[in-house]
Amino acid sequence: MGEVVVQPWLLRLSLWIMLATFVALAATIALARVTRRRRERAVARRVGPLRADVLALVSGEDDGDSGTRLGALKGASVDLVAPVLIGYLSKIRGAPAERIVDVLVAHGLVRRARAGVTSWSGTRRARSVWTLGVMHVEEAVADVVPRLQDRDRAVAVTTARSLGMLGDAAAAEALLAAVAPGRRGRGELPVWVVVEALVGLGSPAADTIGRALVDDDASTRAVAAMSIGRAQHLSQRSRLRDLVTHEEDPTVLAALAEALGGLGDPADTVTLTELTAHAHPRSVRLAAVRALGDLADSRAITALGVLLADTDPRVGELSADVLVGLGPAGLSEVQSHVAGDGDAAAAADYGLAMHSLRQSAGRTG
Amino acid sequence: MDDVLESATPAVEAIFSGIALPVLVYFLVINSSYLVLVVAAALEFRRSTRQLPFAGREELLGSGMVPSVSVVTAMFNEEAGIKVATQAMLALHYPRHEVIVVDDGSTDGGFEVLREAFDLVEVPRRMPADLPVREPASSIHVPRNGRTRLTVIRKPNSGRSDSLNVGVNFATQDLVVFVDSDSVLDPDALLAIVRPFAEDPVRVVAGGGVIRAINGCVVRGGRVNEVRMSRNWLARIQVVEYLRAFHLGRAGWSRLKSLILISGAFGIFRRDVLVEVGGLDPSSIGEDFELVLRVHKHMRRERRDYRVQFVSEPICWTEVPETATVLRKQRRRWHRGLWETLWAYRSMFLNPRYGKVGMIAIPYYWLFELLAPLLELFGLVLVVLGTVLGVVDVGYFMLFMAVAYGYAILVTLAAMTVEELSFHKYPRWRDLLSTLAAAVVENIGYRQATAVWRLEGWAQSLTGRKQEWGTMTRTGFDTSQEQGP
Repeated sequence: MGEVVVQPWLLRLSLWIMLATFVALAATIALARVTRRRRERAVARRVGPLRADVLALVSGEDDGDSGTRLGALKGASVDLVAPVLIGYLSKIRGAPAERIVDVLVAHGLVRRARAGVTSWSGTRRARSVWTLGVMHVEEAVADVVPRLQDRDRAVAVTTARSLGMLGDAAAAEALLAAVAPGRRGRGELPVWVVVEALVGLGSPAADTIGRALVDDDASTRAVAAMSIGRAQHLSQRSRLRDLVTHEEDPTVLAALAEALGGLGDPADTVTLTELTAHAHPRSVRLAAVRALGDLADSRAITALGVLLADTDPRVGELSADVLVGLGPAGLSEVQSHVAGDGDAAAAADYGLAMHSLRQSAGRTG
Repeated sequence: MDDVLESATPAVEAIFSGIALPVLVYFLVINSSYLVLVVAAALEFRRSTRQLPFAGREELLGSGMVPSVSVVTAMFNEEAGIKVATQAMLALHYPRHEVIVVDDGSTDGGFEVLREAFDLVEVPRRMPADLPVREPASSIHVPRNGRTRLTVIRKPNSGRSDSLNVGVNFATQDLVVFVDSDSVLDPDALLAIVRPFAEDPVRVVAGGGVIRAINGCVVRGGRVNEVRMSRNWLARIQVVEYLRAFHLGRAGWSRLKSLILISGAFGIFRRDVLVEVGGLDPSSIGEDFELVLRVHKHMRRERRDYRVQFVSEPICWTEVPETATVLRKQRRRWHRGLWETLWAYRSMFLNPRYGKVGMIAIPYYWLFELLAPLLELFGLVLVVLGTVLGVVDVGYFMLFMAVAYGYAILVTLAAMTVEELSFHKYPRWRDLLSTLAAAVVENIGYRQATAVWRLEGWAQSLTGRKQEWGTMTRTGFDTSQEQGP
């Protein structure tokens, strides 16, 4: 027999180590399953009897007793019911929401949440900033803002959502700064989360958001454009127009087009028509077509009519679709292009066919 | 005979002493690399499960910030399941999506089934020429109500990739999701796979979702109602294989920012990027792999900041082969596609211009995916030969094999642990036990057989043989997948 590659004792040792690891992993799997099921059963057992009170409170049908009973809970029951109430709090408004806040305040949730913002546990920090947001604890904004740069991304994302609910415009700058990549993996917060939060800050944040339109980071510029359009910050219209002339990123350009459409000034027809030029990427051209539809004035209808003849069938078809959605004026513009056999006629045919199908379905259904 | 064996002994002994150690090291490294990917995936899952309660997924659904999506699927003779599949795609929990079904010249009644189910009418629509196609659309159909966001395109047969390119040409939304028409998506799958694009619309250009085996599950109305393990051992082993390689492996690569393979059964791309790179290559066998490599190459050459992301949460359920014949054809095709794509993109191999993709992911695929069956079988033959010739002691041989395959089982068990701690999709204890058993049985015959089949695929390519496409016999998911308890 020749030389062995690995000494048998080493193989035997490896085998024993592997066997021990097998057993440990199999035990982990079994234990995880058993623990999870026991926990689920325990939660159901404790929360079940309180469900009627919780539902009465959130539905606004509480005659006072449910709130009192929930406010009088002690120990582990509070820890189980509080997350349920906080969950509902993000979905309801008005008097039921105020009653829930009263119950949570009675259990010291505000105090605990403000202390938890700097906890070593990422999960607790995230829960704390979320609680302060849904409970609208406005005086806690200064505690919450620094968490946008938290080392734990889940905490930073939750902080952005919480700040949107707190609605303090002072947070706008920090929110915008959290979009671009930061150091050590920080920043890069989800664009949609930041946009929703910025919209929640209202008009006092408009100028700060407008200034971000010239940020070096494309995502930040996109966030600013999207927020301006959605929040209807009319004061930032001129900044949007300025940026259109020299922006190169197609995502930002499409967001700018959408924002101009959202602001709805017919004077932007020229700017948006320029964005439909062939030199621009298709995504930008399509966004500009939709934005022209949002403007919906006679100049926009004329511009869309011209686009029916676009050599890109998608641009022509979308223009036709947008026009027929604008009512009699748009429909008449499309119908005026039916006679003929060029691109405009083809797009008009398609737009009218779809319009006719929808009309018939509307009549019969 | 004895003389022959005796004369061969010194040669085998020489080969054994020269090559055995590198083969052993390779075996250790390949399994260790899987283990690293499992650990990376575990970190990724931990991150995403911790974020989930605070991620605001429901808010995203109603925020108006969700990107619009075109779900594109190609069908060829899918009469049995296309109606339910299309209904399920239209019913996905998502506010802004259209469904485009491309009938790739079916010879069965698939189109008639759709026409009847959705009351389709033909519309005069021109096809944009964004992507070059071999066979253009012959007719375009939409539901008579004009509102259901479904487009059915008929065209002569030209293959799946060409049909999907036709679908992309007709897609009107910003993102395109490719779904196999015989796959089943979880209701929230679209919302979850789109989330990276809503979070980072400037940088994210492509993404992939989890693929799991549907065999054995209870499926009703195009939805997986109950997750169960198949009674077929080949399917059971593939469940384990999909979990280790496709689920955790790809999540690991995504964590390392080097994902180069997105399954064609469930992948998402920015439409403009798809058009820029020219869409799917109809002549490629590994078209999904080829497309992602082309995206990487294009974005790197353009020096653009971009991301290709794997989403561990959404699930696409697909039927895996239950017979050796079909499995053999599938594995031959996969490996042939792997080889042809890696060879076509050899300029990216160890090329720093392509960053981690060129320096880590592609060399890994050459070493540990392409060469794996060759080296595994070579090592196996060598050890068996060494034992027969007395170069290796039988006891030592058994010990060696136990350690080698034991390590592979350990990696699978680690993957199963991560699965149990994060997603725990198989709730029944008996399914858990059969998964554990499959992790062991996989190493006895299955692993060796698939290695042989993969080499066959490679050899077919090198010898220029024509590719044969495997045929999966589909029965439709409406009720046929139901099994008793």
